[in-house]
Amino acid sequence: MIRPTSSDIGTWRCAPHVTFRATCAVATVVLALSVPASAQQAAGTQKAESGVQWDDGSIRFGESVRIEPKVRVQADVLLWNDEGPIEDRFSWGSRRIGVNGELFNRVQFQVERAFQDDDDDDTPWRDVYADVRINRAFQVRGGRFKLPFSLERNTSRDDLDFIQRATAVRAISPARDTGVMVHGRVAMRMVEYEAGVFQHADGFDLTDDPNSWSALGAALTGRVIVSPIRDKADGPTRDLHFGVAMVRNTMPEGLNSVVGRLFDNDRFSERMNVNGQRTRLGAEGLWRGRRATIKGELLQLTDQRLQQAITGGDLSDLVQRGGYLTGIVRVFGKPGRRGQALDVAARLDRFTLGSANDTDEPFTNPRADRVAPLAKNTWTFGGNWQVHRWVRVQGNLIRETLVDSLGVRDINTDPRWTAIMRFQFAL
Amino acid sequence: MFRPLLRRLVIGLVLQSAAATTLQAQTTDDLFNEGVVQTLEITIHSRDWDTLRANFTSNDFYPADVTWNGLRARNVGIRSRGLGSRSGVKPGLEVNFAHYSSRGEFLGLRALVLDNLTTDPSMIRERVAMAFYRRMGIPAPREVHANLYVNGQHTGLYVIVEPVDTAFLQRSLGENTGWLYEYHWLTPYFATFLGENLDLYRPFFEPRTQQTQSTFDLFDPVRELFRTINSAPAGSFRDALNARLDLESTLRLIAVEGFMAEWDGLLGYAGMNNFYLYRPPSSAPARLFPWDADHTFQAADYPLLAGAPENVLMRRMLEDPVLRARYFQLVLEAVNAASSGNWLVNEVTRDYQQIRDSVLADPLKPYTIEEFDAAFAELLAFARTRPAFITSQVQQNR
Repeated sequence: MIRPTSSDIGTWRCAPHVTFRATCAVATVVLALSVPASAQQAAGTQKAESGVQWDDGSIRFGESVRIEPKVRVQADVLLWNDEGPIEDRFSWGSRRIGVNGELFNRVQFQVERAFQDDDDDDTPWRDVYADVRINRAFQVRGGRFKLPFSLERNTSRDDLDFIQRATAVRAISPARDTGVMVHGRVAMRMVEYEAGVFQHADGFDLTDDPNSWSALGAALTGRVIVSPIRDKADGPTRDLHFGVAMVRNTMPEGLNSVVGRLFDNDRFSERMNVNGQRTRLGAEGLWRGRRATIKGELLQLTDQRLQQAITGGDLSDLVQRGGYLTGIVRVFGKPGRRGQALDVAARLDRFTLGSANDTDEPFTNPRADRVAPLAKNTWTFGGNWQVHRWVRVQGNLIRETLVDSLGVRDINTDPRWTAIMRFQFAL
Repeated sequence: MFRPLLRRLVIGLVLQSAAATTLQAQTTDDLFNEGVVQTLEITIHSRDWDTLRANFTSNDFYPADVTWNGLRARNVGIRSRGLGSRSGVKPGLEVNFAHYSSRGEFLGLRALVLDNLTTDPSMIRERVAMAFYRRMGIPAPREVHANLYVNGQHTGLYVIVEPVDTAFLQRSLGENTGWLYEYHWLTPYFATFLGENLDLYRPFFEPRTQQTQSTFDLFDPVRELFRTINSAPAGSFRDALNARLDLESTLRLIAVEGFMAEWDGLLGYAGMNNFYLYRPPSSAPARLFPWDADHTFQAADYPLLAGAPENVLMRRMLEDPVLRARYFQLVLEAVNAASSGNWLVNEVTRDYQQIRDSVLADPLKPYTIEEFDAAFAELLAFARTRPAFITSQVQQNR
């Protein structure tokens, strides 16, 4: 699989991590911090005698089996926002628990469960899959996992540059689904590809109407990334990659459009009636130097609206676009996440709602041929302090602004400011 | 060779110009022209109409086009409405022209109410009552009957009701920048002082304008109004209350409700109901406007002062000799307005005759034509006998 790139300029964590209830989390933290030391003391003898070793957070049984427990606990503290007095400052960002590993140098696997609904998902199970490597150019993955679309969506939550993903990524990119995917690297590892078929890419976003689920079509996905420079240790450019991706599926008739959300998860756009093909297109790019990273994405989602007009005729396509540009500078620390480090980062992201018809009188209703345009611009400024390999502290200052360019909506267009901190333990 | 083409072009332009002039000339006076039964057409996606009727207790809006007299309002919002009159068969509807666009309006109106007439077998109570309020100089919604068609299907006879909103205020008072509240009946409430907590007033008095104002700005004046009603000393009651509530228009409204035997109004059998409260932007006192009068004309011998002892506002007004005298004077004015030229009898008869064919054709009315005729006969009897009964009530209680 094409791996997500960490903002921390370094190590890959190929799997999302595991979470816990608060008490379990505390116990796990203690266990995780204490066991490696004792295990490493005995590692030399164990390795020689039984072939079982504790190595850097994973358990190895000889050369053929590696198992790695995963824990993730994120706690968020809301420092300030524009909404007035804060009643509940504390919330859990994410709590997950799981395991991943590799068998016989051929099969990678991962099982992960969340202890809260932190991804608008319909099940507590997150990644549950097996990945069989035939060779470097051809691997097959089956199970439940993220669709290959969007760099930021495919970045694990504990590797994100900011506490929350960009608005467009949250709205437009699909989440996990059950499916089969082939992937690999070709052309001297310069080109990575992923192609798969998934059961119902937008199930998480559907209403409760069971008819909607039965009418939902399978999703076909594809993603190609070209990496002219990869993991180069010297020189001004350590990594450079560009990619494109597409997802296509059929949406059932109903109020099943995607919606834009504010930082606090409130919707700022309403669901619209759709019916027909849903097409997602994405383009991404990343440049990573010794101390700086620049990356960005452009995303578009179009929904057909066949027979959705008030009169029963077809409406113009619903079009939702967005993207972001992120810049990160490592203030101190070595590349990667093994030692202490401090990054500062800024991101500008934008999400727009509209329709292919942009000439008629605009309306906000879910059957409007010309949907009144609405945009959200967000500036996010952040600092990431990697206290320890497993412990990170993030602080974000967020400025969200809604833009009603035609003045059709009764909305507040004043900027909304939010300041929030996140404390993360991720094993 | 170009002459026929030129002629067609000229004729077309003339016709188009004439049609445009006709459409431009339409006003709300044409819409609320009581001389005709109007025709209103709604075009709505069939799924949305089915959903609205299936979920008729919900207030969800659905997009629709509304056409009246060749004028089409596109992408308006419609929703099921009503309290006891809610129906999945013949839904009462709110048509909101501004729901999907802040610029939306129709003949200057922001919204219309389509009353489904399911709680009144005579189907004319509401319209006659509002006409009588206006005759008595009380600002009241204009109303007119209309045959409603949804996607070409006849849905029955409705009454188009002008909502009490900023457009209504502008028309009635010449300004609309104050605070308008819709009173909601939740529990029997007789104008007592609810307490110091402003949140106690919010459920009863829903702000219809200035909704973004603070709780204090919205509800402190309401709280102080009811504090005054309940606590002002008898000696200064009239002056203290008159500073917060326009007593002349309030007495007039209650007098007309009393004459019309409105048993679900300000002196309702289960507490206050069916009114709007408006606070003008200056320090002028608040006013009350009537709403939803489909329970008027309850009975010709319905007591004039029914509900008065229980209602603190009315009880204290009647304890003041000046206000008491003015009240009975206004009641007699209502008697005169109803009797003069046989106005009430003529109004009831005219409305009945105007809509009878439409009632016959209404496929979804919950009453038989015999029940409709009987209800009209009762109303007619009310119109003929009520003035004398009320006159005798005034003489007894004055």
